[in-house]
Amino acid sequence: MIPPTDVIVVGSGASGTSAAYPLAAAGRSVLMLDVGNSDPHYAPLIPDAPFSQIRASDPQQHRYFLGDDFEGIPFGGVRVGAQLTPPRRFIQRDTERLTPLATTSFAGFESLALGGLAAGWGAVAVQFDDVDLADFPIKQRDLAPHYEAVAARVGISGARDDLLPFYGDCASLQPPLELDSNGRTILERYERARARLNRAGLFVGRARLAALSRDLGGRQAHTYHDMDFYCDKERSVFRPAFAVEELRRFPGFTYARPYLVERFRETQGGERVRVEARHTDSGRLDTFETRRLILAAGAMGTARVVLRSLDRYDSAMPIVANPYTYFPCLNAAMLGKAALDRRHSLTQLGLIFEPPGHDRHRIHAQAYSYRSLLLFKLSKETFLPVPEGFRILRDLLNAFVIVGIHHEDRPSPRKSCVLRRGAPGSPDVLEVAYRPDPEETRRQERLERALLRQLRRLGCWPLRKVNPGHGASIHYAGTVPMTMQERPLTVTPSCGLRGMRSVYLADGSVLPYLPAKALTLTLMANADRVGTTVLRELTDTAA
Amino acid sequence: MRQPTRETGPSPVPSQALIEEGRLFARYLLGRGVGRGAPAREAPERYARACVVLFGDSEPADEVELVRFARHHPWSLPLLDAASGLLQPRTLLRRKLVLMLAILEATPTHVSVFTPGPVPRAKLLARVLLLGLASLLKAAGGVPVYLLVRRRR
Repeated sequence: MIPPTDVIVVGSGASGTSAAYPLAAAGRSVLMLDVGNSDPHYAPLIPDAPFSQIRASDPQQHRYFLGDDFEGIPFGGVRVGAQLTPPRRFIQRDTERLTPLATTSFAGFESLALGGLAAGWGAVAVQFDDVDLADFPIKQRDLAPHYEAVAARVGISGARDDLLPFYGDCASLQPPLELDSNGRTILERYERARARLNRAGLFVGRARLAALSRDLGGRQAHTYHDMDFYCDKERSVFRPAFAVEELRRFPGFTYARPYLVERFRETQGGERVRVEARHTDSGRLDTFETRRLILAAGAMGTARVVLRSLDRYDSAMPIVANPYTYFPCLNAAMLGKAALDRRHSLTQLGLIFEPPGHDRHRIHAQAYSYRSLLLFKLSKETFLPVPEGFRILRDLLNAFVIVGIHHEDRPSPRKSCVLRRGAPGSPDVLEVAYRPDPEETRRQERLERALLRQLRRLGCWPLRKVNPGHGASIHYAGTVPMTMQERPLTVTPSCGLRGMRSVYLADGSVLPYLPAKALTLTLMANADRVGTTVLRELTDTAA
Repeated sequence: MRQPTRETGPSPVPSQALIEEGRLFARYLLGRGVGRGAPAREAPERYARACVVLFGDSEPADEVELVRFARHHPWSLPLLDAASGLLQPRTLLRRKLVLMLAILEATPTHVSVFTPGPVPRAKLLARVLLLGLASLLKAAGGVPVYLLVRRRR
C-alpha cells in the first residue's frame, strides 16, 4: 500500500489534466493513474518539414503515411476514427482487450492513451453559452472563470467575429491561425452575403482552436506545415500530454502508469477512498489510498468504474453522443485555382446554424480543406475506374471542402449503456444501445437540408452525405449526469457522486446532454471547476 | 486493431508473381505518358509485401480469379476495374488497385502525379468530362468481361 495522497485523478486526458492542475499548482499531493499508451514508433520518423516538402523528398514517408503494416490503408467504408493516421493509432490501442464494448448500434471509440482522446482531437475549443446550458444545473457564469483559466493555460486562438456571441470570449485569446485558400474564399463570400445569410440563421467565422498563433510557455506558434494529423513537432496544438509534463514540475504531482483503475471503495466513513488499479503489464492488482478521488476516464470509462464499484451490474445508464455527418463539397471559387501551400490541417471556419422556427436546435459545423490525409482515401470512395477517379479528384482537390456537422443530443430510453460482468479472467463488457427516435433523426435531416441550401449560397456545392454511424463524433457524455434531483448514479452540480462523500467525476460523464457545439473546452473548464472545488474542500477540512 | 510490427519483426516474403502484379498495376495507374509509365523501383516490392500482410488466403475464389485473369490478360485490367467499380467496388481487384495507388502516392518519385496544379476552368471541365466519358466506355466494355470471368470458375 502506497501512503495516502490528497487526490487521485484517474485518466490523463483533457479532463484529468484540467482537474489536476489547480490541485497540483496549490501544492497538493496528486497521483494520476493512467494506462498511458504512447507512440514511440512513428514519431521519431517524421521530419520537421512541410507536407509538400516531405512528399517530394522523404523516401521513408510511406512508413508514417501508410504504416509499417499498412494499417493506414482502410479498405472498408468510412467509419469512426477514419482520420486516425498510423502515428495516431496508439490512441485506441488495447481498448478492445482491456475495455471491451458490445454494441451493434454504436461506434464507441475509447482511449487508454497518454492524453486520452485529445491526443488526436481536432482542437476546436468553444464555450457553451446559456442557450447551450439551458437545462444544465449550472450556468455559464459558473463556468466563466474556469474557461478563462483553461484558455490561459492551453492557449486558444480565434477571432472576435460573428461567432463571438456563440463561442464566447476570453482575455487571453490569441489572434486566429492563418486561413488557407478555401477558408479565405468562403469567408469573403460570406462577408458579401452576410445580411441575407444571417437572416437565414447562418453565422460563419474563423475557427476557435486550442492551437497557438503565438508562442506560449515551451510551445511554439503554428508553423503551417499541414502535418497536424501526423505529429506535434512545434507543439502548437494543445495535447494533454504536454499538460502532464507541466504537472510533473509540481513537487506533489506523480504520474503512475500503466494502471487501469477497476474500482473504488470509501473507508473511514467517507474520509478516505481506496482505489484498486490493475497494472496492465504485470496483471498485478495494486491498491492506493486517497482523501479525494476524481474520475476522468471518459464518459464510458468512468461509467465502468462507477458501476463496478457500486456493484450496479446490469443497470441501464443513459448515454449521449453528438450525431455527426459530413458533406464533401466543392468550393466553386477555388475550381482550377492554385492553393496556398502554407496551411494547417485543422478546421478553417466554424459555422453556427440556427434557422428561425427551429426553437433552440442548433447545428455546429466546421469546414476543413482536404490534402494531407492523401488522395487514395478519397479515390476508394468513387465508383470510377481507379486511374480516372484519382485524376478527377486530384484536379478538384484544391476546391475540396469537408463540412462536418454536429447536432445536439439528449438522453432517451433508447440510448443506454449497461455493464455486464465478464467471464472469470475476462474484463467486464459495456453494452451500448443507441437507437435515436425517428422524429429526432428527421428533425436533424431537415436542419441539414436547410444548412446545405445556405452552403450553396456560400459557393460550396455538396457532393454527397457521409454518415459514419452513431457515435462517430467521438463526443460521448451523460452516463452519470449532473442534476439537482437526488437520484442514484448521478452527480450533484458540484460533480460529487451521489451516495459518496469523497468521489468526484470530472469528464463527459457528468454532462446531462450535449449541445451541438464541440464539448472539449467545456469538459476542461468543468474539470478545472471540479479540481478547484476539491481543493477548497480539502482546505476547509484542514482548517 | 493492427499495430506496426515491421520495425523488429521478420519481413514477410512476397512472391515474384506479386511483384509482377504490382508492376502491372503501377503502370496501369500511372498511365503511359512520357516519363510516367515507369513506377519507382521499390513500389512493386512494397506492394507485394503489403499483399502478404493485408490479404490472406480467405479471399473469395471468384475475386481471386478476377485478379488472376487481369494479371494474365493485361488488356482486361481497365475494363475489369471499371466494371468492378460499378458492380462491386470493394472487390479484391479494386482493393489491390487502391493499395498500389496508396503506395505510389507515398513515394517521392511520383509526387507530381498526385499534386494538383492550376488549370483554366474550361480545360478542367473538359478534362473531367473526358475522364468521365472514358470511365463510362470502359465500364460498358468491362461489364460483360467481368461477368464472364466471374462465371468461369
